[in-house]
Amino acid sequence: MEINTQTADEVVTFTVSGRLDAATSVEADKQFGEVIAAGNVKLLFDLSKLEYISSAGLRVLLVVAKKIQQKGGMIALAALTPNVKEVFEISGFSAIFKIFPGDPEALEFLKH
Amino acid sequence: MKQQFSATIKTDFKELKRLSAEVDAFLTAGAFPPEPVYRLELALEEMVTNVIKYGYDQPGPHHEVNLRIAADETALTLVIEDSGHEFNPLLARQPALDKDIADRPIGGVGIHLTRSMVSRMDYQRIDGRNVLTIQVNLATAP
Repeated sequence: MEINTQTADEVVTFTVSGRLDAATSVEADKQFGEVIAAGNVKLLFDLSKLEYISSAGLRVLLVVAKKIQQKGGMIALAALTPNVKEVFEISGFSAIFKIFPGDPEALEFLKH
Repeated sequence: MKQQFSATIKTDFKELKRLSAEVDAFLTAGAFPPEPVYRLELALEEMVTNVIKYGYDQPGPHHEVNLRIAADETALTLVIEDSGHEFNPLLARQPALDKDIADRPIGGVGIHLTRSMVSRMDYQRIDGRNVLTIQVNLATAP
């Protein structure tokens, strides 16, 4: 699992590659948490390279969502692969996250 | 042609991580389609995670989980066995899926995901062991 982090115009884009599962979620939680603690409240998760997510990965994203909501920020997810998308739908997470087909649409939303 | 994999691990997340990688290598080498592979790997991770976290009063690497995977042309079958508390995931209550971000509880989704994504799940309690059989059907050719 790798997280590439880039900032532009107040939006932090996380490109998450590989797997968000029981093994990698602790590290991901830490990295996302550090970025939020630094005061960033507009987050884009590019999931085009995320091959696999489990409930452990969903949990990390929910923690991020709760923190961002408390800070009055915004999150967008983009480019979910088919199996990941199915997990979001079954778990009901597709109803609580803003999900876009690609980064441009997600950025459009985040920049308001 | 039937392919098989079996392993016994300690109830420890480092072991689960290693196991998940071995299972992924086995299923990838078998050239099965990605979607059933995903479903089986998810079921494995979610159910073994539950054994590690909740199977025993004292969680820790002192217990074992045994699993076997069999693959043929029609399905991938996973059997998970442990001697923890009697627990039938088929009877678990469905989590609240419609709560918003603030009210959504952090846990409870693993069993629901597994039940929704596999083709068949059977549970038995045999001689003090939980025996969970999970089947993921492979798509038949059009």
